[in-house]
Amino acid sequence: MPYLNVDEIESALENLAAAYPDLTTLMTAPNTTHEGRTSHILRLGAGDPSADGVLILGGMHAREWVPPDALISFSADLLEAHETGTGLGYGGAAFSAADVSSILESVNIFIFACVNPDGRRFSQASQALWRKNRRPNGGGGSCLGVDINRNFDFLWDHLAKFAPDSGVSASDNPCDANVYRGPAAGSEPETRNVVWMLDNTPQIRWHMDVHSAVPVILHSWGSDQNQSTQPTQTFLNTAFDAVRGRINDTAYGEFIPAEDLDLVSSASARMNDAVKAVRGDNYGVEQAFGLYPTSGASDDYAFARHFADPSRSKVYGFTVECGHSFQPTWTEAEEVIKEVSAGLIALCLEAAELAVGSVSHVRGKDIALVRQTPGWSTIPVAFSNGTGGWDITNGAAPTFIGNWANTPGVRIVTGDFNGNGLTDIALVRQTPGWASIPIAFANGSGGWDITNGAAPTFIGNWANTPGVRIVTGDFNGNGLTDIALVRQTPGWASIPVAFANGSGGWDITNGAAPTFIGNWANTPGVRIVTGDFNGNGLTDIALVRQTPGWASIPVASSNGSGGWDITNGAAATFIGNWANTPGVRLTNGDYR
Amino acid sequence: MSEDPIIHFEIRAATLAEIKEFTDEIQPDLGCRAIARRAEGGFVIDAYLPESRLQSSRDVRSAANVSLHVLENASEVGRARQQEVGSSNRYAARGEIPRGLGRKE
Repeated sequence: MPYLNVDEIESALENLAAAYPDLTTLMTAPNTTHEGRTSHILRLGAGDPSADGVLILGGMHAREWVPPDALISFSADLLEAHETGTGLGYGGAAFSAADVSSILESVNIFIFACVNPDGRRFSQASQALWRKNRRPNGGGGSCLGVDINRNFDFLWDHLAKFAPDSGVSASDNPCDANVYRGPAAGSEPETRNVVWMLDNTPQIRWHMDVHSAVPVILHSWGSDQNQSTQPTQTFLNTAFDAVRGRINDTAYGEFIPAEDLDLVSSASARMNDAVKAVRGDNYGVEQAFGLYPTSGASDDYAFARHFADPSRSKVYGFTVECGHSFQPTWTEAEEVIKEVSAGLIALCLEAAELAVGSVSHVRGKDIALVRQTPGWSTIPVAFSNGTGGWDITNGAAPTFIGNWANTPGVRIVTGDFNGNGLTDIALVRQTPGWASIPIAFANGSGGWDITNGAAPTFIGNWANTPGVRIVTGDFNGNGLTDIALVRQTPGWASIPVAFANGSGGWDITNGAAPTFIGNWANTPGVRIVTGDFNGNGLTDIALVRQTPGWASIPVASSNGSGGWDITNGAAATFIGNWANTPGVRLTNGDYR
Repeated sequence: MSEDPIIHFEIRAATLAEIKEFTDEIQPDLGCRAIARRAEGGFVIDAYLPESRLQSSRDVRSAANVSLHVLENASEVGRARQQEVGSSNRYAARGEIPRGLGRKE
């Protein structure tokens, strides 16, 4: 598996978005590059789209080939693990399914895998050590291009903002092969695309710029050595322009609030621990100011925005310099990708734990706790008493919870599987190894009756197929909850259903829906919506596309015996113009 | 005209000041950020220079306080790695879903 080229990076993002429409949004960066390329950003998240965000950048420096590949691998891992309910392992680093779920349910991850595609293309096809973008500066050779990571609006004018003897790592010479800052702050389309993300996604709280190589994990600031006692010594204060950036002096230090320094230090250490666990390489943690200061870097810009304008969100900025070489052998690159992935998961866990505004929407009036890691053998329930109080039970379900619920790939599905009006809990495994669907039937007083009805082909063969989503409803109108499987990757032409028989058993069907499943359901941006769309008391399945290209809403109407009647009614403006507007979410109900 | 290849090398010294004095003098490419790591006997930082400049850097005043270790001919390595770049588009078909390197467990 060789390095990805720029076309493959874009296609990989598009295909991930198509394969996981419920977990992703593909965003188009507004500025095309000097060579006319359009970049995309992939949002990963299973929860509230407005929840805290983590922006992860790769490929800013063209010659650093590993980071974009690492971000594609990282994205694919998180999506697949969440979809199938597994954890993730990288060498000696291990993260549980609960970790993966916690990340994607609590925060949004924005993957900007290749910020500088023009430069990467030139590096991979022509001059391997090229670092800048490909801006035409009026000259050839090294006189082309701008260093994107010196072009952000943070002390950008290094000649005016730093002591002349600071040795700041930037240049105003367009022919500087590496650190030309550009003609103005934010002059480059690649820079403006990152700024656009920060401007238009105010929930972003974390910013990670993945580079190579040293290796090291860096946190704020890069402009001077940190201090937390002199709040007037900041990048905003022009009185210090003549002395900023000198190493080991007492005239100036960049102010960072102590609580922020604690946070970025501990988050960096957590990332480093995760990286080290992969194969023992200790990247180490350092302040981004090393031997020399840096101006115009993305991590400093992201963190500085809040201090320059307090109405903006505070974004903690980091850089990881991964591995030991810009272009290692692919075999070594794979190991570095694992290190980057482990470090990013650690960062995202930190973000998830500190996320604000995470809300679980409860249907019904009681709340049950189902543990999916080992250690419990009960299902606690808080029964609402209707006046704000709660009655607590902790009914035994030893095998169901103690053995089955914590199996990798198991998803919890709730419904009334015996028609007694109470909510029951089923376990559907989406990794190989099972041939049944266990149910914990609520007895109404906090206890649970356990069954484990056979569904060999449904679970053993179909449910663990990549791209299969679980859909519940009453597909035969008998008042019991049934489970259907809708595949959103190519390869199927039917919709299997496990009909509950009311006593823990399952009757399996596999009704044909060739165009609906084989052609439409796997279209990029399609979301599944269930409801009784023809009013016959049976649950039907609709497909709503939220990317351009459709003008209708296909429906597979259940015929009550496992078969499906397909329609494709026109909804030209609704689907063709409105549903694919950025920020639109589906909510179905009875509106007439 | 023969190319002056870019050489990837390490600069080692007992103190950060000695490394900085040398890098101040020779102005090498220090990568994204000039971060020196602790190493046995002091500190080390990676740097890049055209081969001719690397040779002349050994004679500068501050070179006496550092040791230089060539790691690789980065230009040559880069050309070799260009052969490891995908030449088509492995994800051109939408059904080709990328898979990550993590163990799903």
